[in-house]
Amino acid sequence: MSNEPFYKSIKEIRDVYQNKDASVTEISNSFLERIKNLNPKINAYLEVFDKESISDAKKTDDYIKNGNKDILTGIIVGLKDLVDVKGKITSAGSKILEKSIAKSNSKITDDFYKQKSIIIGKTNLVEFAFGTLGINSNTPTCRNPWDLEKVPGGSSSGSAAAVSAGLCTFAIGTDTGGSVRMPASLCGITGFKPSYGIVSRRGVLDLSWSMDHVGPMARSAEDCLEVMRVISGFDLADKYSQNINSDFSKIDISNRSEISIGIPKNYFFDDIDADIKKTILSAANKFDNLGYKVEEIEIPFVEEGRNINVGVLLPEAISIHKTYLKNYEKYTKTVLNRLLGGLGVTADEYLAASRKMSKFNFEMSNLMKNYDILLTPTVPVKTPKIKDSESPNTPEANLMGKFTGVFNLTGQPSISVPAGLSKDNMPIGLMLSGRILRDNDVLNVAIDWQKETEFHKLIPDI
Amino acid sequence: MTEFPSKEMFLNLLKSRKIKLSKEDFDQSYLSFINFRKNYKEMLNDDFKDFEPRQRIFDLSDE
Repeated sequence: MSNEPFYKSIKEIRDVYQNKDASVTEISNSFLERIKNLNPKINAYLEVFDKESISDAKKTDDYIKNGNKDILTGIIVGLKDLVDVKGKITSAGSKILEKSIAKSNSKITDDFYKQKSIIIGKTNLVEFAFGTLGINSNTPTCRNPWDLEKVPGGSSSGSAAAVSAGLCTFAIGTDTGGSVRMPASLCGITGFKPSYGIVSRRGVLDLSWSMDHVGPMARSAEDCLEVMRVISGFDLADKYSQNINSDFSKIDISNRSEISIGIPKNYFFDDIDADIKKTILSAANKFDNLGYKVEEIEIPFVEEGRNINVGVLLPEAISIHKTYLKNYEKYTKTVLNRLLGGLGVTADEYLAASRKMSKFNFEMSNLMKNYDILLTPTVPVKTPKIKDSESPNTPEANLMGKFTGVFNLTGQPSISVPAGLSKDNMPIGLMLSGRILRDNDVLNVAIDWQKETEFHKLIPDI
Repeated sequence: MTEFPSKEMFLNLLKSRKIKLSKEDFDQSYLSFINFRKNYKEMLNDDFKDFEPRQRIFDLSDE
């Protein structure tokens, strides 16, 4: 293994500190230097906290010298620019909030500071996190490290690009319709959307209170699990936080035949890119060969999921944006057009969508009594070029969230892991979604997959 | 609202929020608007006969 820290796992970085192979200051300086060299090409970061990172790193070195260590001590993290850091701008990638300074830390920012992690900067994103491709004409164009002419996926575009390019060890994204998992898939990394309410959203700008989730993006499922050990947990100050003790621990899966994996024949494989279909079916065969109980299934009700997702999301987004819309000229055309489509929704309509959501969730929970995991592609379409993605309603923009949004509706834990490369050498993501509140099961099946495969170790040639 | 997704209706909604759009932006937004109107119309037609709203989102009784 290379001595460079950029693609090391969280555990490997911890070992570096434990063995005194490098200090937190040295590791932080290495990342800052790499960001300085590569960020102008990729635009993963909107703001880099140079001085604060070095100052924090020195304090963390003292903390370690005094015999202290925690799970994420000295680990380099990038935060999507929806997450508040006291005294820093939270722009949400918008002109409207470009001077908006956070008055306090988000709950997860506090978690990272308590652990003495190094928050190295704020990552690029789609304006107000409302888009699937990662395009935002307000900010420098974020590029996919696997092909700089292609989109990174959104809305957590910068977080995915930063992890993929080795510009942080892990990053935080938000996911309202797939915004952690889609860019993770397109950039060849692992992105985890936890169960609804498992990670506090206090201090993270809302898009839709019924669908929003916060989750880790990293090189591996094991790293996502390490982050979840720190950021999960009840938060009284977040109305939507669930007061449930979630266990996050690595399990050696010895009983694969007792884990049932459902592969939906309908919807998730309809009209998808041939390369993606081949790769995901090959992954399904691999799970079968590994000894998992794999079964093809039909989910008739799933077809309605996307319409319900949008039917709840859009009126909530319009409500959240009520004040911002007074400055509608400052929105990008893409996001403004998308938002305005939701004008004039009546209470009857919103409640019908909300009630359909409950019904959908009930049907899904009944289905999941028979399956531990649903295995699907993360996205149905190839990664498009940036130059073909700048108008509001491209086919790829409309189709990208077709699969991921289902699990925002249900709040199920869902992870995207690398499963191969397309003919044009772009990453393809596999999505594993589990039973509600069984996050540890999903992460451990993903860890098992990554123990048996090497796709997550592939890195782009930047 | 659901019955008549006319351009005039959409224009009035924009006016009520003092939003003025170029023709191109109006057409794009209107396209999204009428798609959502169709979406809600279908949802309002569901009679929910097999579903009680009090049923829980998830059921851990067999855990």
